[in-house]
Amino acid sequence: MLLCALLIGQTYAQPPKALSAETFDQVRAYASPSSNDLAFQALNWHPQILDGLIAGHKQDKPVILWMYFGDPRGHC
Amino acid sequence: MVGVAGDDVAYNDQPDKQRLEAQIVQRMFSTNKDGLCQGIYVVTPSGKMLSRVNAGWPDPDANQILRNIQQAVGRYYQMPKGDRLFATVPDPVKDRIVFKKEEFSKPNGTLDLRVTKRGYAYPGMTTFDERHPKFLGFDRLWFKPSEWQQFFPPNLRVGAKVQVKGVPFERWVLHNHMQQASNAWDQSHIKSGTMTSEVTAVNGNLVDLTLRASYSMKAKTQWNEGAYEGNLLGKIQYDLGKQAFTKFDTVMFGWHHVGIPKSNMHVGEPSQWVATYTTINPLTDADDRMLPGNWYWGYGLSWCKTR
Repeated sequence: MLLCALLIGQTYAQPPKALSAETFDQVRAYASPSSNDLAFQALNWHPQILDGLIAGHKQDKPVILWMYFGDPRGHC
Repeated sequence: MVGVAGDDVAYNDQPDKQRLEAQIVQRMFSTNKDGLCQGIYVVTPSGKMLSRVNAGWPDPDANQILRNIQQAVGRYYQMPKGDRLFATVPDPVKDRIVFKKEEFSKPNGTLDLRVTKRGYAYPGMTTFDERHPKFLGFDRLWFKPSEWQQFFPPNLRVGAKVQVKGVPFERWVLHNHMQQASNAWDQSHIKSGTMTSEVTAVNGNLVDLTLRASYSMKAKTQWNEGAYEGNLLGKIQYDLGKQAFTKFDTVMFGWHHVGIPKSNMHVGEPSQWVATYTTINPLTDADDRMLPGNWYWGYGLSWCKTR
């Protein structure tokens, strides 16, 4: 099993047997965002292209467009 | 850099093609071989496409993406200012496309929650499938005052309980907060379940509540043949003096089955355990501006018109 984990290079948490007051923190931690998960929030994302272009113009900066059905920051 | 997180489908489908923003976007993507479609791009404020920078799929190649961005930024600063910036700055109101979602907003006093969810490992999984535990799903869950008030028993004394029914019970699951990816659920798919809220402590103005719920769901439609069995446990604190929630932490833990696996979505075992965490949205409206994913079909535009 250890060899398998080393070969895959990553292990994943096992689910608890049930949700209870005792496993609340364990489940919460598993579903909580890590700092990597939240790294995209370092940029102030404008939801509309024109707003971003005008902001880029004022600052003389290029604009990064992240386009995805729904909202790329979350759901799609 | 300045960031834009936008909806390519909304831009493609919007009917106001004469609006200046629509014309700029159309010109911008005219040099992209797939037109306006999902992806990550670097453009100039004047609306010139510099590069499509995303690389690697389904696992992004971070090093290549960084190189692509650096090259695009390098090209930007080599361009004359007259090419990279507007000659005449558009009017941010008159020239802007007005999207339907701008009609959707939070009524005053809405409880604004951030939802994050992650599936547990399952046999045969790969990162082709968004149920893979590498992926964390983000969403928003909103309850307006007439909805969140139903979490409170009429008498706020320790031990008082109330059974929560309707929207405050159903929205957690009908809007896919208990599973990875999305399915079309409706009330008839909730075969059984209950939600109870109990006052567990009262200290001055602070009222503590415990929220417990269970859900048993099965759908059988052309869009969804999935199933879900799960529970919710929440710890809530409300400040009667400030009339504000100081804590709203809930977790959901349950077993989700996709129903009939789809070759363009699913790899491996069709069922998995899923964990969901919901807490008060830590971002302010000013730096968030993200709507619940189900804002149109789930909440509906009429939802905003009353508290």
